[in-house]
Amino acid sequence: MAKTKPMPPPAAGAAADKKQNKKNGKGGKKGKNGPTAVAMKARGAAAAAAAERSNPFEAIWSRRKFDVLGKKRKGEERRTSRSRSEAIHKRENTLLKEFQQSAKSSVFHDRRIGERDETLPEFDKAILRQQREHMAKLKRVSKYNLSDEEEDEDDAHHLHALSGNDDFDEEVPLGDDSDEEGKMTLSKNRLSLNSTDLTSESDLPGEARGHKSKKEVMSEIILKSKFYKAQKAKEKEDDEHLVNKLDSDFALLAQTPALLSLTESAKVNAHKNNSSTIHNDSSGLNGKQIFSKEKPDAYDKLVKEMVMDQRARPSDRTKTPEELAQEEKERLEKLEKERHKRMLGIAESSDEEDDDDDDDCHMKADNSKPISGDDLGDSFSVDEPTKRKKGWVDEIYEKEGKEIGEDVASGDGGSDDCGDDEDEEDEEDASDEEDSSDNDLCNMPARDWEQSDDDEVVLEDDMDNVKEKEQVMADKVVKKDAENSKRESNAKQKPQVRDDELPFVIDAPNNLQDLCSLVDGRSATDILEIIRRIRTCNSIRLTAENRKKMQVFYGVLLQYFAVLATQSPVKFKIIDTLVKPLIEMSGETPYFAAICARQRLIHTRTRLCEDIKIPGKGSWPSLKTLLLLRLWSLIFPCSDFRHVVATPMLLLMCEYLMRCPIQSGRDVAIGSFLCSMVLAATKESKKFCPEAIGFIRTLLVTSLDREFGNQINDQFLELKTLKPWLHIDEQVHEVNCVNVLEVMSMDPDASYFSSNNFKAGVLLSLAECLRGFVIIHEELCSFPEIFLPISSLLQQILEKSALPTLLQNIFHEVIDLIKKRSDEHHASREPLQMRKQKPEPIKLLNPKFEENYIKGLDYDPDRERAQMKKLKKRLKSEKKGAVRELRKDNYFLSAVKEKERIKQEQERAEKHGKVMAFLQEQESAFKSGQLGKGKKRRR
Amino acid sequence: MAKSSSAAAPGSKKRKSKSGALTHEEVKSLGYELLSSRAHLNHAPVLLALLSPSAPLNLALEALISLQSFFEPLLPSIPSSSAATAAAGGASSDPELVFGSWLRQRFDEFVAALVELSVSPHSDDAIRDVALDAFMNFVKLGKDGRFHSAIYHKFLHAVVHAPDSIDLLLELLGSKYFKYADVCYFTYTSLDKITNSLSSETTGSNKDGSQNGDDGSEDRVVVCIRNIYNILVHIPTLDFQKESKFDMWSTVGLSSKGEKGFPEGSSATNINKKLKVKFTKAWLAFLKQPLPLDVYKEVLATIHQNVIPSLSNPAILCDFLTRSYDIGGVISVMALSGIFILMTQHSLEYPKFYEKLYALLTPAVFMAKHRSVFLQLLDACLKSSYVPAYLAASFAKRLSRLTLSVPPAGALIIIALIHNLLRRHPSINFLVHREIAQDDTNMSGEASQPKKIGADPFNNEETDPEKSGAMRSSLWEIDTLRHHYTPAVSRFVASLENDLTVRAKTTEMKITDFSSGSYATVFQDEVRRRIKQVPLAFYRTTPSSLFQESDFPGWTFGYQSNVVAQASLEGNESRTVETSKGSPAKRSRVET
Repeated sequence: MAKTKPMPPPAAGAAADKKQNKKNGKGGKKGKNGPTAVAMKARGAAAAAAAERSNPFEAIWSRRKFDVLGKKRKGEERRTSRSRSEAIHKRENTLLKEFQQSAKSSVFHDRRIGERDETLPEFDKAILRQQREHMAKLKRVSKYNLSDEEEDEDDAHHLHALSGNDDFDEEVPLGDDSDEEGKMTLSKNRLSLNSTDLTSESDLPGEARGHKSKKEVMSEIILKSKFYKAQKAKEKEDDEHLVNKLDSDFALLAQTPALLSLTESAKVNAHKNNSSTIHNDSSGLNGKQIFSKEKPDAYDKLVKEMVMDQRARPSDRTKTPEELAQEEKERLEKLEKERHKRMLGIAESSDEEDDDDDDDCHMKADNSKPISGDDLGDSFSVDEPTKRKKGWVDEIYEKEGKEIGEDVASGDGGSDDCGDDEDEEDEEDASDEEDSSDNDLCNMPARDWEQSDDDEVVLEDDMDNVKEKEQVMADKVVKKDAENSKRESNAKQKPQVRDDELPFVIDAPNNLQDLCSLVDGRSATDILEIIRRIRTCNSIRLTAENRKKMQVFYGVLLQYFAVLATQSPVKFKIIDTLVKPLIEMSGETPYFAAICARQRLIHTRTRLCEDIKIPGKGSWPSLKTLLLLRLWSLIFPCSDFRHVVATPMLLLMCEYLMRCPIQSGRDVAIGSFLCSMVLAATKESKKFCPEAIGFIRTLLVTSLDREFGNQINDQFLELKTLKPWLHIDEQVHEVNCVNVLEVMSMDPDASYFSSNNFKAGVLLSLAECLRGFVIIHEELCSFPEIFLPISSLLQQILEKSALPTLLQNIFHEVIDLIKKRSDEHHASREPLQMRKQKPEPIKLLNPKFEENYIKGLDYDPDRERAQMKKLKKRLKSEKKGAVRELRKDNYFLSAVKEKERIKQEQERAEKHGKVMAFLQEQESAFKSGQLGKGKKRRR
Repeated sequence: MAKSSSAAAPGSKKRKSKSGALTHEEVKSLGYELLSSRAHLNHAPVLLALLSPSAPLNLALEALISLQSFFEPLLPSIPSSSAATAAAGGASSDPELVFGSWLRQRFDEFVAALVELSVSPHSDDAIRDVALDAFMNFVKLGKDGRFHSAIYHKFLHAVVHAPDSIDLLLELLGSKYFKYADVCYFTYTSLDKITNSLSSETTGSNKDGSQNGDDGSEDRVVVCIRNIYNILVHIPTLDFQKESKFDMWSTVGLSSKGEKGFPEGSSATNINKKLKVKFTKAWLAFLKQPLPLDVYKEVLATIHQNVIPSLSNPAILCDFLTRSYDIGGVISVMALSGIFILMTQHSLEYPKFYEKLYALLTPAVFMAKHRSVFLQLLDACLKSSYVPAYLAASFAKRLSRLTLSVPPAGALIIIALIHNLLRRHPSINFLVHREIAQDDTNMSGEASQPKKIGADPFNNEETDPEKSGAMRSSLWEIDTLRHHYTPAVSRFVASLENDLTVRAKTTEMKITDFSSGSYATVFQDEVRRRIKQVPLAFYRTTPSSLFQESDFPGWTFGYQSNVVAQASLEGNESRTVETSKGSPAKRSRVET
C-alpha cells in the first residue's frame, strides 16, 4: 500500500467519531464503550476511504441498461488492475521479503510499539510508547514506593500538560483539512479520557492496539437488545391502555338505543330457524350481558352454540313416485354393478378390504328385503314394467313413512334396521294385542333361547345326524309312512288349534319333528303363512338371540325341504312354496345359509365318491340333491367369479356329469337335466363348462346307431357305457317335453325310457341346452373348436335318424347358429397376444417453480446433500484460488528473479563496457603511438 | 396224491366204524403208540387219514404233530422215491427194504397231505400254520440237511395251481420264509419251471383240445398266472446293493448242492449274482405268459419300481415294454414309466417315441388312475431342450386342445405343462404371442382367402406331430380357459402371461404339485376356503318356484303327473311352442 495510506483513517474516523463523542458527552452512559467504538469505526472508515481514494484508472466499469436477474455483473465490482496491484503489493510485503531473507540466517524483528500497526500515525506511536514507559515506571515505582497524592497528581498534571501541549499544537494550522479534523478528534478524545477515571487506563492498551475483545462486542449487543426490549414493553403497555379505553368507550356507545336495535335485528336473523319467542324477549338482556364486563363469554357461548347447532335442513318433501322409482332403479343398478364386479373377480382379489364390502353386502341383503319383507302377498312380474310401476305406487302408499325414515338415515345400517324393526315391532304388538287374551306364547322364547344355544353348539353334528336320519327316512318308506300316520294321529289329538285357526304367534321349531307336526296336512298357503308368522315373531331384528333361533329354524326348514323331496309322491307344490321363504331367510342369515349349503355339498360329494366305487350302483344325484342344487343356485349368485357355495356346487354338478356312468334311460334324463341346470347357472357369467358340453356330445352320439364306436375316440369311452340310449328307430310325430319330476320318480328299468317319445323329449332338451351353450359361449376364442365337432355330429344325426320335424328344425337352427358363429370367428380371430406389453409412458417431469428464486441458492430438499454440495463447491473454489495464488507467486518470484538477473546483466554489461572502453582507449592510444614504444617506433 | 391216501384208508375206516369217530384222546394215544414202538406202525395211515382240511381241527392237529415227530427222526433212513418204487416193484425180498418203501409211501402221503392242508382254502389258520412249518421243516432236513428242492417244487406247483385265493398262505410264506435267500432262490427256480411248463401245457392243450376244454383251461391258466404273480410280488425285493450276509433256511445252505448250488465259501456277491439270474429268469418266464388285464396293469404300474432295478439285464424287458407301449390307451400310459427308465438308464433307443407319446394324449388320460405318474413322465420327456420346436409346439397345442374336454384338475396340469414347455422352448412362444401382420400382408391375405384368417391350422387328428400344423397356430384354448367355471383354472391362466422367454425371472412349475389333482382336490380347495363374505343372489321379486320353464327349455315340471299325461294331445303342442321362445311363430307354422 501507498505510504500515504495510514493518514486517511483517522481523518474519516474522526468525522464519524465527532458526533458520537458529542452524544456520549450528553448521555455519559457509554463512556466506557467510547474508545472501542472509536477503534472499530476507524478501521471501517479506513477501508472506505481507501476505496474512495482508489486509482480511477484501476476501476473498470460499464453502464448497464437492464437489470437482469441472476446475471453476474461484470466490471462494477471488479477492479482487476487494482486487485492485481494490491496482490503485487502484498507479495512484495510478504513473499518478496521471505524470498529476500531466504538465503539469510538472521532476521530483524522490529518490536517497537506501534510499529506493527500501520494505521497508527507517528505521533500516536510516540504517545503509546511514552505511556508504556510511564506505566512501566509506575509499576516499578509502586513496588517499592508508597503512593502519594503528589505524584499521582503530578502524573495527571503531566498528562494534562501533555494534552495541553496538544492543544497548543492544535492551534498550529496545518495545510490539510483532514489533518486538522484528525487533530480535533484527538483533542476531543483526550478530553473524554480526562473525564473518565484512571481505571480506564488499563483498558487502553488493548483498545489502542485496535483489537476489540469478543466480550466487549457481546456486552454491547446485549445492552442494545435490552434497550429494545424495554422499549417494546413500554409500547405494549401503551397499546393496552388504548384498547381498554376503546372498550369502555364502545360499551358506553352500545348502550345507546341506536346501536342496540342494530344488533338485535342481526340476532333475530340468526335465530330465525330454530329460535323460540323466548329468545326475542331475552335478546335485549342478552345484549346487555354480552357487553357487560362481568360476563364477557356470554356472547361467545351463544356463538358457539349456534355453531354447534344442527343446521336446519330443507324439510323433506314427500317424494313423487317417479323419484322413488328412480331411486329404486339406481339401487338396482348399483347392485347389478356389484354383482358384475364379483363376477369378474375384481373384488375377490382384495379380500382384506372386506369390511366395507361386507357392510355393502349386508346392506344389500337388507335392501333386498324390504321389497318383499313385509308384504309377502304382492308380487309383480319382472317382465312387465308397467305392472311393476303400478306395484310401486302401491308400495309407496304402504310404507311411505318407512321409506322416508330410511332415506334420512341412509348410509347408516343400524338405523336402517331400526326403521324395519319398528315396523315389525308394531306388527308384533298388534298381533300381541290380538291374541293376548287366548294364549300367552310370548313368554316361550325365553325357554327356547337356551335350547337354541345348545343347538348352536352341536349344530354341525346335528346336521350330520339329521342327514343320516334323512337317509334312513328315504330308505325306509314304510317306516316313513308309519311316522306319517303317527303324526296324523298327533294331529288328531289337537285338531282345534291346527285345523281351524293358525296361531298368530308361533315359536320357531327346533327340530324336524316339531316342524312336521306344525305343518303336516296343511295346504301350501297355510304353510307359507306359518313360516311367515314364525319369521315375524322371531325376527332377527328384534333381539340378538333370535338370530340363533332363526338359524336353527332355517336348518330345520332346509331339512324339511330335503325330506319332502324324498317322499314317494313328491309334493312339489309344497316344495315350491318353501323356496321363497328359504331365499328370504338366507338373506337374513347369509353365513349360516352358506355353511349349511356347504356342509350338505360336502356330504353329497362324499356320497357320490362312495357310490361311484360300487360298480352297477347308480351314482347320479337323487331328486333331493337336484332340488337342493337348484335351490342353492337360486339363493346364491352363480355368476360370481368365486363364491363359497356356488363354486363348489358347480364343481359338484360337473363332476356328476363327468364321472357318473350312464346305466339307464333315467340316468340319461338326469344327466341332460343337470346340463340344463349347469346352463342356467352359468348363463349370466358365461362361464365355460367343458363337462356339460362333453356330456351333451356323448348323449348325442348315443342317438346314433351302433356304428358310433369309431366316432368319438377322444371322449371318455371307459367312463360312459355307450348304448344307443337315444336312438329313435321309428318316426315320431310329436315331441313332448320330459317331465322331470315324473322321470325322477320312475324306476330305471321302466319301459318309458326306451320309448321314442322319451328319446325325442330328451333330444329336444339337449338341443335347447346346446343352443343355450352356443349362445353364451359365442365369444369364446376357441368357439369353432368346441362346437364344430358337435355341429357335424348333429348333421350326422339328422342324416341317419328319423327325427320328428320339430327336432329337425331345432337341429338345423343350432347347426346354422354354430356355423355362423364359427365363420365369424374364423374371419376375425387373431393370434393370441398374451405378452403384449403396454407401451410404457414417457416419464413426465413437471417443472418445479420456486417463488422468489435466488440464483445460486441450493433448493435441494435434502439438507445434508445441499450442505455437502456447498462444501464441495467451496473446496473447489478454494483450491482454485490456492492454485492461482501459487501460480501468481511463481510469476511474481520469477519476475523478481528476472529483474535481478537483468540488473546483474546490466551491471555486468556496464562493467564490461567500462573495461572495453578502457581497453579500447588503451588500444587506440597504443595505436596512435602515445605509449612509449609506439612513439618510439613512430619516431 | 389222493389215491395213495385212499389206498391206506380202509384200515382206518375199519377202526372208525368200530368206534364211530375217533376222540381226541384216542388220537393222542394213537400218536403216542406210534412213537413209542415200531409195532404200532399201522397207526400212521390212520393218522394220515385224519389229515384233511375237512377233518376236525384238534384231531388233525394232534395227528399232524404225532406224524411229524414220527417222521422227523426217520427222515435220513427213508430211501429215495426211485429206490422205494424199485423196491416196491421188484419183490419183497428184504423186509427192511419193504419197510423202507412203505415208509417212503407213507412219507409221500404225509407230504402231500401237508401241501394240501397248507394250500387248501378250507383248512383252518392254525393247522395251515403248523402244516406249513412242518413242511418247511421237511424241506430243510430233506436231503441230509440240504434243501429239498423236489418237494418244495411240488409244493409250489400245488400253490400255483390252487383254484382259490392263496393270499393267507402267501402272507404266511412272505413273513416267515421269503426272507431266506435259499428259499427265494428255489422259489424262483421252480416258478421258472412251472411257468414254462404252463405255457407249453397251454399250447399243448390248445393244440389237442381246442374245441372242448378251451374255456376251462383258459380260466385255469389265468388263475395260475395270477397265483404266480402273487407269489412273485410277495417275495421281498432283494437288496442287491448291500453286501450283507444272506440268511439261509437249510442248515447246510446252498453250498453243498452240487452243480446247482453255490460253491463252498461263496461270497455274498456270488449268491447275489445267482439270485439275480434266477429272479430274471422267473420274471421273464412270467411276463411271457398272456397276462390278464388287471394283472397286466398292476405289473406295469410296479415294474419300474420292483422289477427293473433287480434284473440282471433290464434291457431284456425291452420287448415286453415296447409291446405294451404299442398297445395304446391306458396300457401304453402305464408302460411309459418302464420305457422311460430303460431309455434314460439303460440306453434303450426307441424309434418314434415322441410320436407314440403324442398319440397317447387323449382326454381319457386325465381321468385315468395312474395319470399322476404319466403326467410327470410327460413333463420329464419334454424336458430336454433338444426337443425340436415343432414337437414342442405340437405337444403344447394338443394339450391345450385337450383343455376343452378335461376336468378342471386336468386343465390345471395342462396349463402347468404348457407353462414349462413355453419356458423351455422360447422359440415356441409365438403360440401365445404373435404380432399381427401389418396391413400390407393382411391385405394380400385377404385378397387370396378372406375366410381363413382365424381358422386354426392345427389338425388334432394328425398323428404325426411334424405335420400337425401347430407351428402356425395359436393357443386360443388357453384364452378360452379364462372363462372356465373353476376360479382356480381361470386364475392360473395368468401364469402364462409372464414373459417366459426371460428365464431369470421365471421358474418352472412343479408338475408334482398338480399331477395328483382331481375333482376331490379342487373341490376340497374350494370348500376349505374361509367364509369371509356371503353375497346372495339378488332378485327384483323373489322367485316363488324352483324351476321356471323359461329357464329350462325342453323340460316340464308338472305337479300332477296324471294331469300332464292326460293332457298330452292338446297340451303338448302349445307347450312345445311355448318352450322354444326363439321363433315360436315360425315353428308353429312348421308344425301345423
